[in-house]
Amino acid sequence: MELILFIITALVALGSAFMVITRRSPIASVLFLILTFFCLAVFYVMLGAQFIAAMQIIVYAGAIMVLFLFVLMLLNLRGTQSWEVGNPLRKWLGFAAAGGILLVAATAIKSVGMIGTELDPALGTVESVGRNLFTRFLLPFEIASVLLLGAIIGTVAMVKQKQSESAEEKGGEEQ
Amino acid sequence: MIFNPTDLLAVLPEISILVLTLLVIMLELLITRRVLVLQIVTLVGLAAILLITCFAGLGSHGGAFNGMIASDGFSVFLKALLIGVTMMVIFTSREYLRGSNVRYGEYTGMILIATCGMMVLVSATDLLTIFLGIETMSIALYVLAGIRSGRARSSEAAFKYFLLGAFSTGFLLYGMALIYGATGGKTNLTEIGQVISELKDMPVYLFAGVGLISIGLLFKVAAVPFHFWSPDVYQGSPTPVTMFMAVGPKAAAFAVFIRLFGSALSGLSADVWGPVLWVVAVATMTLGNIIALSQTNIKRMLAYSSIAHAGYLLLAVLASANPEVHVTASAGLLFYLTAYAFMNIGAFTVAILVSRSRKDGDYHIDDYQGIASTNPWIAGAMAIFMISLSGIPPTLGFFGKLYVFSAAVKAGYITLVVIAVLNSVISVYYYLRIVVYMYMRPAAEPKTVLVKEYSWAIVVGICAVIIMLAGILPNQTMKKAISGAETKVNPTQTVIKT
Repeated sequence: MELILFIITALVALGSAFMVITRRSPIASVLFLILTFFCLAVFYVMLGAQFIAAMQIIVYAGAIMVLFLFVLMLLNLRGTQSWEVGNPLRKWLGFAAAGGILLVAATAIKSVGMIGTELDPALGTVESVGRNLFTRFLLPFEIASVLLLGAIIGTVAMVKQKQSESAEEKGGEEQ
Repeated sequence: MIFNPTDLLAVLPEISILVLTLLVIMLELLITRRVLVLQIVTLVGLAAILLITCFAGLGSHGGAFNGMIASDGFSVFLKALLIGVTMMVIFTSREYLRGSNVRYGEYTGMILIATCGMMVLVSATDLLTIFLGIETMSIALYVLAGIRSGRARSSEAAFKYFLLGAFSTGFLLYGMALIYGATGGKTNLTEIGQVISELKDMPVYLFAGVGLISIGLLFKVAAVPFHFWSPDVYQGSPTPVTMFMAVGPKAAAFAVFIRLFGSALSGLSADVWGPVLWVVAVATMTLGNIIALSQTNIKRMLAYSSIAHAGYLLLAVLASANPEVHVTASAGLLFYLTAYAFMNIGAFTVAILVSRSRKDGDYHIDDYQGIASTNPWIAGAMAIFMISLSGIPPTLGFFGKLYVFSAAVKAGYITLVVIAVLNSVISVYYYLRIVVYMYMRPAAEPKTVLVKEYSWAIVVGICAVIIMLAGILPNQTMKKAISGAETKVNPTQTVIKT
């Protein structure tokens, strides 16, 4: 049963990932990327990592995708407009980079021997993630909050500047 | 695993900075107009934190929070330096930002948060804290680069810095993930060092991880070939931010460099990253100095000079991988960073002073012609900074170079030191050109008469006095640096003992 589910999800994941890179319209690519992310979330659930699965959906399929769509909207790329790169060299560089990543992943999996290993059933549950966050990783967890505070203050500072600037006359060109 | 309340002592400086940040931002809501009050509160707060850092830090040596950070002499030294730098940046900023639309409270808040990130970074002994520290610092700096949003140059600087910085963070994080995988799930630097020393055959992706991490860090210190952002960003950012950027992140990133490469990954130095960093160091010094020769904008010239200085500092990183000279090299790095901080802050402040006496506020080096006749004190201070930057005795810059180069010689990098010394000779040309302009050229008409602004003059004076005094008595500073380096949590030594 689980194997059948795995095969179906894997096929959908691969198929939608293929669609991401072959669609001409960026919006369609982004929507297929969401589908890929959902498939990945299913894999996490099958591995017993519910928390990571939830994070995958909230952060990637949710927040990051909204960001992507928002940027596409701001750039005002029409659905029919292709985003082909002029230089063919870039395509080959992309292939080389993807191949390199594949190679690294393959050697990593080979040397660790991950296939068929029994996983700790508590790994990736809400409880174990929460316990680790508040004991072993307490300090990084707190520093992350400083990071977010900095990001919030920074955003507000930049947006406020923009408003007061546009209210005044356009400033000088150089310093 | 259990949280230990005494660990809080180790992060007391960071917590205090955070409290001060919140205080300043809240206070700005109440007293929007009185920028002077905000500045005084910030400066007094920072002075208190400086004292806290020096006294609280001395109590606990070693790791805290399960080895996430270390409050050792090394980090206390750098934290004190960073707070000093921040104080001077805050001190110069108020007058600089007068009349602009920048809100002082948020500006100060961003500087303090960047400082907090750097302080985490200099004490980080775990890949997680290193990453979070770098991000906290960088995000605040992206905002600061573009804080004067109406100006094309400032926006360009912020955008360039943000895009390239985000990209380099990706490299850094991927490298960390690969090292995490290669060492069997370790993020602590000491544990990584131990695992690597016990590994029989090195997996390829460990090398890939080391390579990617070094790309991320080399970007942060603006080493060749990852330096393209720095001249544009330095030129476009508001000058107090530029001097903060030139000094703070560099000190923090080099602290990480020496903890990561000089200690945890020192076992890989001979066959993996040593030769690569050797080439990078030569390229960084040479390219930085040669391009600086042709610059006519003082901010760009100082940007290329700081690229060259990153090259010299890489010598200390290379030398520190040798366990016998690790302490000497770390102490040399601390000393050099101190010298570098005061020289650059002084030089950038003089640059502000000179540019503000022009109507358009430009930073051309022709403006320095004949300054010695109208403003002998400022010209004298600028001459001290330039002489110190080029490394001529008896200034602080000379001793910085001396300690770093001698550590490198002890570690056996003789060719590299010869190249570095030749580079210092090249750099004398463009540094002393400013001195020649100030003293030997007649003043251009209309004469440059510097604005009378006491806060800037005070910062220039403090930097000049420190460079001369510490240059005449370098032993005191060096003693502090050595004691800092000796108490550094040092994975190499534990590996040797076991």
